[in-house]
Amino acid sequence: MHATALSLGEAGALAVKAMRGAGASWGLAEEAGWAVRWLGARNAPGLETLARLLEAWPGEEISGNPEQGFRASGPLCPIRAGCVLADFAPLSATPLRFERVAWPLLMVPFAARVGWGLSPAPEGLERADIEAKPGAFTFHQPVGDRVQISGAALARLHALAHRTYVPASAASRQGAGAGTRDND
Amino acid sequence: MTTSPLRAPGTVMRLSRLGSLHATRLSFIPSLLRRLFGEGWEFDRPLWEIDRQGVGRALYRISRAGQSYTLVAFAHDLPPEARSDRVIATAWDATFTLVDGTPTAADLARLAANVPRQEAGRVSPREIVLSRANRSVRLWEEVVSALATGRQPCPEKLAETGYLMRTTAVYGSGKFGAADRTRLAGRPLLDGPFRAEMLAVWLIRAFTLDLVEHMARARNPAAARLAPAARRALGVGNSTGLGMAPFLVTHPALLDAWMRARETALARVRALPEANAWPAFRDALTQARANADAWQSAHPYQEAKLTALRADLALAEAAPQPTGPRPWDQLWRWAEASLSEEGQEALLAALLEPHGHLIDDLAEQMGADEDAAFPIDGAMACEDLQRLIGQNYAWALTPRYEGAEAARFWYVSEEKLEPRLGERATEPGAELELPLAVGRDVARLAADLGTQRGPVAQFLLDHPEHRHALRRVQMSAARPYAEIRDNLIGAEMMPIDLLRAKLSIFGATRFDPRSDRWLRICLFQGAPLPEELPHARDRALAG
Repeated sequence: MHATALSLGEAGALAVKAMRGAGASWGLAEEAGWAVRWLGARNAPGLETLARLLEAWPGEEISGNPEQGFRASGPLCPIRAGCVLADFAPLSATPLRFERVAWPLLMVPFAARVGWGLSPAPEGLERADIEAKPGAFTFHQPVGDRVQISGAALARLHALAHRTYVPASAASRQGAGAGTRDND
Repeated sequence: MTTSPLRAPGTVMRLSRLGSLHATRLSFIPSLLRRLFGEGWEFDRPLWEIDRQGVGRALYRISRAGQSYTLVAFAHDLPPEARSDRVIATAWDATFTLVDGTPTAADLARLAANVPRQEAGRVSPREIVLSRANRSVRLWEEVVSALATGRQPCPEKLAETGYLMRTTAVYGSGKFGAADRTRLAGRPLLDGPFRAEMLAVWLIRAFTLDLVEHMARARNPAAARLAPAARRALGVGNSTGLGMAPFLVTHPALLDAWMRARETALARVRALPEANAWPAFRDALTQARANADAWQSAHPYQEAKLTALRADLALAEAAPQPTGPRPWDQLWRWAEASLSEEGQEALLAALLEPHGHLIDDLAEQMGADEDAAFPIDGAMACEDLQRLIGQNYAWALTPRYEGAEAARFWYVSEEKLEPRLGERATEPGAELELPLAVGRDVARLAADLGTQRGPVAQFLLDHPEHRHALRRVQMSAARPYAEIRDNLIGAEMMPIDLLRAKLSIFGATRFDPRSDRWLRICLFQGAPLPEELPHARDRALAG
């Protein structure tokens, strides 16, 4: 596949399906779609980064608590970490720590959602221990509606999305339409 | 402004009622037409390059004060055996795109290479809508041969079909590279859900009329032109299947906005202390009866509804003008007690029709920001979530979701990436089920939630699988009409109820189901035409 420019709608839809195809629950996959669109609207490589993450998706596993921080047995999925951050932030006045977050750029939209900031700055990082702090948000306003994506990343995402489709059968084709002559 | 209470979501958001909705003056088509004709838009047809075989291209443009939108139409010579409405088709009688502005020669070359390929091509953010249409086999030849012999086509035949061509998809919202809807935010005509799509269909309608006359002239240069009444009588057909069905579930904020606007309009009319618009209401009722009488459907489901509708409208017409305070409210309460759901919803449309000055502002409140409804509030207490479930999802807790109550599953087909509805017991793929069974998923959430305490953030940490359902429950607090309050995977569920709800909001006026999951509608039938815009150029072509 060649590099291409997707609309935000296309990028978000692809992200949801790829995340689901990688094994995430639908609720988490939706959050990935939302995060990719948020980043894409600000010309940050959200979809490209998601493709990197899904090369070896660590799963939804997370444990811990606000006082002692959150971690997984291996790398921590940034979408899952982002959801936990956004969910717990309204309850916390003190920073929240997330250990060994993979591709932490994908946590940024969730921090922005609750007005928190992340350190270190996650752009370009493949893995990092992330500290989320209240009131330190400084990300940009939306500037565009096209998402650039490399051919390799697009192919990988489509392959994952493909896992969510059910192959056609004679029975399924029949069930989709009129079953009677539909051309008049 | 006083208003009566809005109807309860438990009444309104049932599938059978949603499947009985009628178009109202708040629907997208009438509100688009009010703006087109009331806000100084002009029409011209800057290009007509179609040969005697009916192959070529044309441009249909509306413009105002430096802003324009242009429909680019490509006409093809499609062999009859290749004609199909199915999403799996790869060629059509005509393909279209609506351009933001006026296309340049370079644009037209790019579009000629992509638009006829539809899903297999790409368009750019300069394009807002992508669409395609096929001829009505029933009517096309009939009209061409009548005009070619100098005659007008038979009005009964026109009425029986209602359209010359039928769109089989109208894509917007960033699909295939087109502009995201955010690009149209704030635009005078197109800022609103599906405005661009409806504008494209309105211009497609004009194209179909011009093309049929052109083909008649190709046969006989002295061919007649369609009489203005015939032009008006023809709309654009549409074939809708399950592709549209998930939309109402996947756009809860939008659904809430649409239904809230309708219900608010009804409540405002019911609160009126007088019935000054009674004569105009009677006219609307007469029109509704005429529409119901002319409405034809071969499907037993719709036939039964039509029988009830005709009887109900006759009853409504016979009902005397209410006296006393709040006469419209009195009439409405009679209707709720006496009429079927079809009858009630048709009466609602007639009640709204003469009250434009009171309710048309609501047509501008039918947009919604799904992203604003999306974030979960982790600080909400589990007790509050339980209370919301009891308040808004009690309907979801009754079924056991076994056997007939979970007989179906929604999924996306690999073949053409379209949504389908499978039978769980006999078809493969249920493990890939789409999350459209919100009722069942909320029931599962409620079962694991039990009577727990603490913030939902903790519950979600322990039960991430309930995130999707929990979001819906939280959303329902401020958006009471966001959820369809019925089991969408039951054996008895009629997908056409979902389709009809959305299409009535678009402004479709007749619904012709062909199965429980496929229906035909007609848009813009009887509506004014672009050539009728006050300063339409190319009026000579209008005949």
